[in-house]
Amino acid sequence: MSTPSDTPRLSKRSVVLATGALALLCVLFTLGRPMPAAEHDSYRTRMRQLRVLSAELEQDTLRTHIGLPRVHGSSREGLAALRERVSELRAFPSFLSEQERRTLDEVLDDYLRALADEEALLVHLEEQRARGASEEETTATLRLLLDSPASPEAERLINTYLQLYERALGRAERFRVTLFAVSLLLVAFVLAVLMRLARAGAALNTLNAELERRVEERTAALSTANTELRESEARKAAILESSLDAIISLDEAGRILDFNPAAEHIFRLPRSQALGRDFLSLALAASVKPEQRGPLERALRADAPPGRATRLEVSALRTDGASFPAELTLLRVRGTGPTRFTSYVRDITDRKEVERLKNEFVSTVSHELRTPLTSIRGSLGLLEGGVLGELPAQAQDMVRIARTNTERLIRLINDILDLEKMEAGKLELKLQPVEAPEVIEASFNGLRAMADTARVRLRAESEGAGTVRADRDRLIQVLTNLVSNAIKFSPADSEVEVRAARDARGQVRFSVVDQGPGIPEDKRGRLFGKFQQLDSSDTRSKGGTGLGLAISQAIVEQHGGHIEVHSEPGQGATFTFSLPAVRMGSGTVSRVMDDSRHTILVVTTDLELSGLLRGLLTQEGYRVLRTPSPQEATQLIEVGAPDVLVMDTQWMDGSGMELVRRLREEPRTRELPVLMLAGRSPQEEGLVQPMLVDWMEKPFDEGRFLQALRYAIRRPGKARVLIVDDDVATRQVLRAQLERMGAACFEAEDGESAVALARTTPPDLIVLDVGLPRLDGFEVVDILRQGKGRGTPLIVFTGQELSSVDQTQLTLGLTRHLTKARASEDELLSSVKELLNGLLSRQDEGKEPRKELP
Amino acid sequence: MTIRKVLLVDDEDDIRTIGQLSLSRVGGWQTVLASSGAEAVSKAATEGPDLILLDVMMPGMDGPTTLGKLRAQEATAKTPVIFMTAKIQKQEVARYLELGAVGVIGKPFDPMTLPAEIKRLLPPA
Repeated sequence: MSTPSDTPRLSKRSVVLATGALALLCVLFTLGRPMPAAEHDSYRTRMRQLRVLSAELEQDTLRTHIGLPRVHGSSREGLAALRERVSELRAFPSFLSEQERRTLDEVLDDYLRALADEEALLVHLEEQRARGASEEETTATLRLLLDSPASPEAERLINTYLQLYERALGRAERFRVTLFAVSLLLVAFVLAVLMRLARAGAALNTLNAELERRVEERTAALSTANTELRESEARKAAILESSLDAIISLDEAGRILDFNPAAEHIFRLPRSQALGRDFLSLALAASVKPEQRGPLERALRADAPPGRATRLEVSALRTDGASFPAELTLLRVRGTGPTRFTSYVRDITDRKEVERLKNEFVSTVSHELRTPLTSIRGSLGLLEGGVLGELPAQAQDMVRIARTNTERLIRLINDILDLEKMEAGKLELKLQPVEAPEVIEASFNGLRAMADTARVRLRAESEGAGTVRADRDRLIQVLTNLVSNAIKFSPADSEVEVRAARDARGQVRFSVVDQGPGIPEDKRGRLFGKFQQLDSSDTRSKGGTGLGLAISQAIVEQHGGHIEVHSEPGQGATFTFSLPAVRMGSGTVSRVMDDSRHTILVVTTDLELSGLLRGLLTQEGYRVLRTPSPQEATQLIEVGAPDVLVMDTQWMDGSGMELVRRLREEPRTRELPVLMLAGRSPQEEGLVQPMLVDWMEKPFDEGRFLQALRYAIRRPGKARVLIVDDDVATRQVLRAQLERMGAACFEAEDGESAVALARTTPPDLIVLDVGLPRLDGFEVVDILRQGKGRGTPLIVFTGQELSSVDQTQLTLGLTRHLTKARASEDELLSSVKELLNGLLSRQDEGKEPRKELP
Repeated sequence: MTIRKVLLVDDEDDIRTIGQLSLSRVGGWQTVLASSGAEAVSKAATEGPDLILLDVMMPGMDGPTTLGKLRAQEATAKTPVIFMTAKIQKQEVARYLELGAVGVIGKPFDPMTLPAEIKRLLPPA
């Protein structure tokens, strides 16, 4: 197909040139007319007449001499006539050039000179005749006259003229030839221009035709598109109409633009009433927490990235006031027009109920299965163990088969329960720094017997991998699963290697490499599914449950990682996964390990309470000393130097009170905080309040007890807040705000000094940034959690978006997570107030009780 | 500590039978049986066992409640108790320890190693 640029272009210039050429042709034709023949003829005739007249004059002179009469009149008249003719001949023909005219002029002059000589001789002759001179004298003169007549000069004149004429004729001929050639060229040029014109016209026509064809095509396409659009609209309308999910269009302000029938049904609200209403306030139940509301509000902002869906399970609200579990998806529509959002709401009441029933069923069935299995396993174990007497060899074999299969069934049930728990999101990870080489070794320990039986060597390559943040037991479970799989599929005398190495993204990459048959590509995809062993005979031959990889995947995903498999058939398989590393500046974590503990002495005769307090306090990071007797307590106070004494007076018949009184008298123990737990109020026990730091009636609330303990331990004085941020401006602003609230602030600009400060001056609250030099927020929290900082209230105040896993890791005592850009000042200050719980108003009261002793 | 007499509490007849065989034949201990929490509390008082193996899930009075009662009566306030449970999740183990149990043994147990496991859980004599 030709495009306009291909057609010959007819420029304005070539048209102008062609016109010019035509005009020139006309001029040339005018110039190129034949030589003026008439002019030549008349000039030549006049010259010939001059010659004839000249000859006649000479003839008459001769006739007179021999005595004959003159024929042509007197010689004087003849000479005058000749002179006149000569002057006439000086009007030259037009075709002679200037040079030629001069030549001819000169010849005319020569003739005139000859004529003058002739006249002189004629005058002399007449004079001789008049005086009657002798015959001889006159004949001599006549001879002179006849020797040099003028007529030959006239002949020369004619010849010269004819020569000049010939020359002019030749020149004219050459000019005409040249003219002809130029004309031909011009004609050719004009023809060329005309041809181009014609071709341009033709191209223009083609172009027009093409254009018309295209317009037709486009029109046809447009009409097809219109039809398709109408059909697509109809299909979309059908989807909207028939969808079981509510599909709701929203404008830039989050107001409802469209509301499909499912939405009407789900929200119990007719479309007409829904249009224009604010979607979030209509749809979300009041119980939806701010941390869920936040993401939804962000997804509805005009600067939300289009096409990225925000999906949450929320409690949604029907207009009749009932709330229901819903899966809510919000996304900004791609497009250039005004900002639009689409929301899908799915009522998941049924799904939730099914989930609940399934969980209950699985849990019940598992328990109900375990009870008979316990009996079977137990009976077989006793039989096989020979407790009831030695069995015959065959029977021994049968019992062993029954026992191993029972154990397989038990493993299967355990795996199903595990997986169930993970899928329900009930698996709680206890994240802590874990040494990679150590967990690999731990997983090997459980598998050595298996590896020996299979004659497979186990090898670890984990130098420099360092520490990961993981749940140790779960990580060992994953490695055990992968390594035992590798052993199962390894040929005898081969090797299974576990590698751990730190990668560039600050993660530790674990790889389990075997030399088995490998995994065909088409089967890799379903490898991590449930009960997915590569061929059904594997389960039996390899003794697995078919759930190991699914469980491993779930555990790794819960850690924020992902298991991948690489394999070439016949070349073995490599399973790899990455976990976040604990960053270490030359082993800082081990250097700044915090093993400081507050020691709590618990004095109670109540064994149950004693056990409960031990569990609770140990978990909170305290060291616990326990005794039932006040006497032993006195010794323990001497030796163990506890930070707080917790005393239960219920079954103590006054000896507890006696102990407190004695402590207050001793200078060394005067300041020891005492927390009293009792069945009755202090008044009923007959005790003066100032002797104690706090008093609690049983049964007490754990949270209040732990807080009371923290207050008892803390040094008296204003509420102390440790501000940790590497930005000095942020620290100053926070300090100013907190001091206005009555808190005493101290600052740290990096993780290490934060840990040091928290240890020397235990704060009542830490406000912690995450991105810090030296040790980051995660590491600070990890370290503090190991020691007495464990229960310290914490506000994580960071610019980073924290995932739920991050939030779990960044937790000490009561913890709030606030994002710098989003949390308002009020939010921050109210969190501070909440976490300092009363300390701001108590101020120095803490010191008083120990001063006013009875 | 030295064990001479063990009280095994479980509502399942079969498990009591197997447990008794294991404790007496493998462990060499005198074994007393109870099939409910209430029976356990009274038998513990009269028999004075050195150790109580207590099932968690029992109809009527469950294991933790039984432990509370045992702790409340003078004679058994300090008797070490080991829970036996089919639910063996970490958080649950921690909770039982807080209640004052010295340890937890998961079901199904291996009768041939049960006594050894019990000894491992008890504080050294």
